[in-house]
Amino acid sequence: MKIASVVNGKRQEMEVADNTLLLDWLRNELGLTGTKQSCEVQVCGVCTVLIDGVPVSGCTTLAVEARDSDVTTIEGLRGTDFYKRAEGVFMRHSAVQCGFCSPGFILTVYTLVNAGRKLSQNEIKEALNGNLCRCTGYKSIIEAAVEVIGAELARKI
Amino acid sequence: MLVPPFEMHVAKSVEDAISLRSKFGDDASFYCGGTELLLVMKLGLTDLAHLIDIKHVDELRSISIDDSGIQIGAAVTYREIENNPLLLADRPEFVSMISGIANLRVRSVGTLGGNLAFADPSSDPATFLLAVNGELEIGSADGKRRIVPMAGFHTGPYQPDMRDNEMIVSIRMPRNPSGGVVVHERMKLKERPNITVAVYASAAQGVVTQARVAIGSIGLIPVRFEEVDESLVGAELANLDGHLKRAATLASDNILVFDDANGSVEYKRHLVDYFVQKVARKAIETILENSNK
Repeated sequence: MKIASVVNGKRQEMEVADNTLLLDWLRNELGLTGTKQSCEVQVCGVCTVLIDGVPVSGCTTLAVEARDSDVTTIEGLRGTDFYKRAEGVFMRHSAVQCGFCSPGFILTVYTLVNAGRKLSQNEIKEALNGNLCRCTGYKSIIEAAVEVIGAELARKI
Repeated sequence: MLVPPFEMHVAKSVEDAISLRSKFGDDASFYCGGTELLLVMKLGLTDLAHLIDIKHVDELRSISIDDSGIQIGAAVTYREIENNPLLLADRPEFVSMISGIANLRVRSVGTLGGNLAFADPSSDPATFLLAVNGELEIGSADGKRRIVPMAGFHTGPYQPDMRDNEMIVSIRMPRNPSGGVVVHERMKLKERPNITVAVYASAAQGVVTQARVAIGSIGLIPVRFEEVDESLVGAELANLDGHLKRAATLASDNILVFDDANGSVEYKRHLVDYFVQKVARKAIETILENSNK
């Protein structure tokens, strides 16, 4: 299928095989390797990307689903003010060990901020239950996520 | 992991989708969120030459609530259910059950229709719908629609009671009945629940008049047992413990479970016993407190 899509603000038009996975398309065709590959069964969250602002697992989404849509990967967030602030908070909390899960966590936190609803710490934990950190640095990641979401929502009001 | 090659067809209407399915037969499957189907394809468990994308069919994407009840199109995503204020107002316990399914990304694209058509033995929605007497609207190639109860729709694991040229068009359930209460709970250690129990109860003058106990995600399909439901009728706050013990014993004796990676038969019967008591207690105490007011 021929698809036209805007990836991180850049228009892409190309023919993709119907069975191409979004993850493979982003990494192999567009060279966007910030989106990681791991569990392959949409459990771990390292392949999280946004289609029209909605988080999906790149490993279990077909590339053709990106047609006529805006796709955002971690590379698309870099350079934004949100990213700079979130990066600072994650670093201050030492919420990064090997860093492999970080793009997925940051994108998920970003969608929670964009949803615009105030969330309790437990709700944030629940919302992040689909992002796994194999270094098991959850405590600091949750603390960082809570701080980022709180601060970003406060800026919006 | 690669998905084997296939050709995608985008259906424009229910009739279009069904006619494509009839044309390609067993070589084709309906496709929507892909959260179950793509996994199965990646694992090489199925070899489909054609996928029929039904997510752009308007009729399958609507939610309506009126006097006749709640109707949710088969291609409505969990996320859309979570964000629907009318559903939240009318059936908060349904919306809360949906918002606990899998994870944020699965709920972004996964659909209620897909869950029920796939008939995974671990299904919160199927168990919930069984407790509230949910129904499905099934479309077929001759243009006719039939309404079937959720009870009996799953005949075995991954076996919905549909012919090849049929598809789920919508899912229906009654509006929150005045005086009735539904409580849903799941225990989840990994991605899929280890057990799901949903209990509906109604009462008059401080006595339970009707109960429906649905048990899912532990046996081959979600089930209800007539004798379990009946054992709760007549319960009052004063004699509740006895009724609950009897219901739980009947349920754990009757349930068909097997040893697997999720636990032994003995452990699973224990879970059934524990959760039937817990969830039924919550439903019945709530309804009896309401009916005493």
